[in-house]
Parts: sequence; structure tokens; C-alpha cells
Amino acid sequence: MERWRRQGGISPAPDRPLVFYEQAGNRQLLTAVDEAAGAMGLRIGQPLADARAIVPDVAVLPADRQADAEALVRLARWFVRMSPITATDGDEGLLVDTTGADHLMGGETCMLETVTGWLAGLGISARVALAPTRGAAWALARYGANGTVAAPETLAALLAPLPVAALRLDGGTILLLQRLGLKTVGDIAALPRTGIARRFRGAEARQVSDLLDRLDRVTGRKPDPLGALVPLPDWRVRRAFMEPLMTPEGLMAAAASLVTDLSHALETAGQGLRRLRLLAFGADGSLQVAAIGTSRASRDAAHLMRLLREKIPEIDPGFGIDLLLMEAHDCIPLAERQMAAGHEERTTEALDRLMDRLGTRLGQGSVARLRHRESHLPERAQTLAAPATDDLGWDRLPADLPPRPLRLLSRPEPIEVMAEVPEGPPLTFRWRRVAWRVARAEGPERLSSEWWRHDAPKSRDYYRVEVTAGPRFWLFRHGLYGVPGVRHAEDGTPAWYLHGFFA
Amino acid sequence: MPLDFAQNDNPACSAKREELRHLIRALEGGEAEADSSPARLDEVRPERLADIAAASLWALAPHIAGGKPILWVGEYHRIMDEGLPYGPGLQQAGVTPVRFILVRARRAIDALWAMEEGLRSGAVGLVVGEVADMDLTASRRLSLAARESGVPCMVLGPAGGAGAPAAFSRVQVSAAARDADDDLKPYLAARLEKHRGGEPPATSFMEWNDATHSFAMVAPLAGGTLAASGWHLASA
Repeated sequence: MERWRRQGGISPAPDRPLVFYEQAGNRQLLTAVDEAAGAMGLRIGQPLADARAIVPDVAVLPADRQADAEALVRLARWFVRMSPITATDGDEGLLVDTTGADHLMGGETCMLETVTGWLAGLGISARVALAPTRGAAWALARYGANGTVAAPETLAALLAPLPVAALRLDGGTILLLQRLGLKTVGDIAALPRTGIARRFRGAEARQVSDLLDRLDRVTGRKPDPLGALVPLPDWRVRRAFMEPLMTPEGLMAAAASLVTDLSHALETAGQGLRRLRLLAFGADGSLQVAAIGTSRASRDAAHLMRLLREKIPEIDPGFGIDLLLMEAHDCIPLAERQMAAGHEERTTEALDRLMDRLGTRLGQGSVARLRHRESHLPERAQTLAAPATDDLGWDRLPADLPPRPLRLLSRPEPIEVMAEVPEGPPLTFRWRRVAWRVARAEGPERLSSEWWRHDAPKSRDYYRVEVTAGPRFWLFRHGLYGVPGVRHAEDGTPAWYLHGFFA
Repeated sequence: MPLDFAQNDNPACSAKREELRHLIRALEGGEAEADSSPARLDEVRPERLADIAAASLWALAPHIAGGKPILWVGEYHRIMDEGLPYGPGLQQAGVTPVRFILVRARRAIDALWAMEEGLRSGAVGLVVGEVADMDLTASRRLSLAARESGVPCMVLGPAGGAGAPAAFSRVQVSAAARDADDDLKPYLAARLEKHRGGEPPATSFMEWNDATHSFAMVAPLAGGTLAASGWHLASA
């Protein structure tokens, strides 16, 4: 409902109560009701037909669950500004692990007020609570007083009056507890733990043991870690701005000082990063990310800044950036830089930097090294590898390899053979609409298919040919001719291809 | 394009020619540099698309002996059209593919940027740019970057293209057929089309020497000797 309003939704009938519904099996159930509809007694979960019976002139819109879920994920990502560990919870909840983050925001109560304020500013009404465990926070946010802050020592007292549904139980378990006269969390906590599970059998026994497990997680007797929505960085530095940053220059300067901070932190820890992310939080609730990668671990502020300078212009300051976070990912130990590095080392370093810069600006896939792979098929004998690849494998290239072309087409191109002899190279052929007459040829070099692969079942006979006009090509015939009494032809008619160019 | 007085034996003309050469060299930034420093922008161009391997080998030939990395920048569509530099073939020509850093750029402007970045990085010993025609400004930038960083830059132009206007020299290469019945080793015709050092246009036939991994001239048809002209070709 609120997402729809934020995004400027237009009601089909502005002056009438509004509800959203979704199809559930063969029934249509309400998923959201506005204040007017709520005042007339419409409730979430009611069948749409009932709602129409109560309020005949209600305005009805279909719910968009997917957009709702996407909006929630966006919001969860935005809360990374508070803590790196955020997660969505069900259809409508957000969990943020704020351990160690509260003092940055003036204490716990103040933090909750700030969060409520942020959300209100975004047009979202929310119930918030802070508790030592995830389950307790869930329970207090939904069933406790809004803005409750629970400390470990007050947790039990705060939880006791809540209804048992606050333990996130399924309907069957709640029914079972009602039958037993257990209405609040306190009632269950007061039960003698020993042997309680033994009093039940079958499905009920499982329900009870689930219940106890849930209770233990809520009270913190069992760990209940939060799976983070986004990958956790190894290091993180942040800078908040009283006056939002409005200009690209300001952004650049702030990023530079963050890079310096991060590089100091990494230096103290003896680490280097492989990936760096800059998160820019807009005052309007937007989040933009600039990411760079380095081929080898680095903590050199000047180098990192040079890479970032390529990416920062992609961030649009919009209505102002009020918080910048810089995260270091994939950190590995990096020895103290030897000041007296040898010439060799400095060249390697300069090369790494060059490849980083090229990759940052042109995209990582645009920069590659040539790597050798052992394969009979010429196009598989060379692959493109990431810039930082150390073992390129060229020392394993057979020394007795017959001549190979200097340029190889990644996909052999079919040629039209106009005159040929059965076992030998073509006499004349046409490639890219030009006819060539073969003057001399060497071959064949038979390359048998990698028989364990299904997509290349035929042999290839390669020829080096020199045409009368000069150029030397690498041609092959795909498939063998049959030789009477010796072998059958490989299936299909042999086809000819041009695969490479010799100098 | 230098005026061609080569065929004229008149002493006055000869003196004029020397004067002109000096002038051109002075414009290029000093006589010594123009003649001996390989760190400049040169262009090689295949005559036909099928001559791409011959032109590639021509671009690499003076640098085969070195061990420094080679930045090979290509516009994506050209590299796909003309084939990737192929490691096994490079290895057989004497240059280990380990030295290669291949950049495939989507846009011409990215390719030019990558070339300049490579020249100024101090990390590579040669930059080869398999790019389309460039304007005077772009080729001047590359020429300047090459001279300032001391790294040679070779533009591998497209067949039939207009090339890089600020290039020091331009050579059009075509694979040539041999009537001899020895094996199929590289043999090509190199036509010097432009030389700011004042060399007159000339065509030479060059044969690849497998032992030394270098070109050697076979039969000059016209013009002066290439070895003395600052083409940096090792003679066999």
C-alpha cells in the first residue's frame, strides 16, 4: 500500500476506501487495506467477496508481490549504511545486526528514533525494536511496544507478556498451546523444561520440541545468526556528511580521503584488497555503488584512487550524498612493500597496474592473457585468461608441433571448394567472396577429434596452402573420405574450412 | 610525403634533398632521435585482409629479441574478423605468448586510450594497435606518448585504410608467392609508402629467417637499402 503510494499510484476511486487483493487458490484475499477501509472493519486476509459485502463501493487493486519484495530488498541494501549485516525477513520485515553500530548514532534509543525518522521520510510506517536476539527483536517489533529496546537482563520480562504467536509458531502449535491454556511467552518459559517433550507423542512431540528450540533462540540460549543479504566486507570505512555532497568534485575528494583511511587500516593489518566497493547513500534513500578490482592484492592509495577515478563519475550525486562507505573485499595478507624492489619486480608491478587500469575502464573481460591448454583442437589449444593468471602454460607447448598460423579465427570459416582432388588440398576455393588458386600445399596433418567430446566427432585434415597471389592459409577438411576396403566415410560430406593465416 | 629527388643526379638537386631531409628531421625533434630512436609511432598495413599475418609479423619482428611485455590492442570487431594472435604460431616465430597482453576494445576511442595508457605505463616494450583509421590529433597524441615514454608504438591499420597521419613511417605489407620449391616460410613484399626521415618510397622483398627470427631482404626492386633507413630490421 505504502510502496504504491510512494510510487505515485492513482486510486481508481480516490474518495473511497482502497484495498489490495491477491489470488490464493480459488479465493481472492485482501493483502492490504487503507485507513478508511480499516475503519469500516476490513482486515488483511479477509476474502475479497466478504469485503465487498461489508463495503460495497470499495476500490480494489491487485497486489504486486514481486514489486513489494524488490522494494524490501532495496530497503535492506540501503540499511547497509547502519551495519553490513542486513537481511529481509519474510514479506515485510527487515533485520539489521547493529552490534557495535549504536554508538555511532547516539545510543540505542536514539538509533531507533533515527531509523523511524528515516523510514517516515521515505513514506514508510514501521514498527521497530532492538533486542539481543533476532527472534526477540522480531517478537518485540510485532507484539511489543513500538521502539522497545531490550537488554539481555530485561529481555525475559519484556517477552513474558507477549502472546505465544510472537514466537513465530505455525497455526497448529498455537492451537495446541491454546488447548493447554498457555497464552503468553511467559507461560511457556515458566514450564519445567525437563521432560516436557516426553509428555507428547507423534506430531505434537515435534511441535513441542520446535517450540522449545524457538524459545531458546529468542532468549539467546541457542545461537541464531543472521545470514547477511550482501557479502560481508573484510574492512570498512565510513564518512557521513552533515551537508550532503552535491558535486562530483566533492565526491572525488571524499573518496580520496576514504581510500587513505582504508589503506592505513590495511597497512596496519598487513593486508591487501582485491576488490573495493564504494557505496554512496543518497539523502533521498537511493544507494549507488562503484566497484573496482585489482589483479593483485593492493593497498596503495594512489593506485586505488586512480582506478576509482574511472568509476566515480558513474555515481550521480542527485539530491546529495549524505553517507559514503568504502569496503575492502577479498583481502589477503600482503607483505610490507620492499622499498628496494628489484627492477624486475617494479616492471611486474607496473604491468599489474596497467592491466588494472585497462580492466577498470574497459571491463574485466576486455583485458586478457593468452593461455595454452593441451588440446588437439587448435582453437582449444589457446584460451584467454584473466590478467593476473600466473601459469600460462606455454612451456608445455610441444616442441615438435607442426607449423601453426600467426592468426587464428576463433570460428573456422567455411570455404567453397571449386576444384579438388579426393585425397588432398583443394585446387581452387572461394573465401569471403574472393577466389584463390592454390599454388603449393603442405599436409595433411590429421587432428583426430577429442573422442570423449560429443560435439566434435569428426577428424580434421589440415593443410598449409600458399595461393598464387601470395597469402598462406591454414585450411582443413572436416571429416574423412571413405576408402573402399579400408574405412567408411565419416558421416556427412566432408566440408572445407579456413582456420588461420600464416605470415 | 617527402619529395623524391632520388632519380636525379644533379648536384644541386642532391644538395636540396639533403637540406630537405635535415629540415624534416629537425621538425621531428632532433636529428639523432629521428634516426636512431625506435620510440615513435609507425604504421604497417596489410594490402589485403589475407595479409594480416604477414603484417602482424612485420609489426613484431624488430621486438622479437626483447623480453618486455607486448600490449596488443585491437578493436573487437577487427580482432574477431582477422583472428586472434595465436600463441603456438607466435612461439614458433620466436616470441613467447607470455609477453602478450591482449586488449579487445569495443570502441575505437577505448582502443586509442588503451594504447596511450600502455605507452605511458612504462610496463611494456611495445604497443601494437589494431585500430581503424585515426585522425591527426589522435595519432599525434600517440606519437608524443611514444616519444616521451621511449616505447615504440605500431599501428596495424586495416587493409585499404588511410592510416595514422602522424606516423613516422608507413609500410604496406603483402604476402608474396615464391616460385622456389622450398618450404612455406614467411615471404613478403614490404612497400615503404611514407618515411619522415626522407627515405624515398620503395618496395623490398623480405624473407623470414627461422634461425634468427628476423627478416632479411632478398631482392630490392627500387630505392635505397632498408637496413640503413631506420626500419630496425636485423639483417641475416
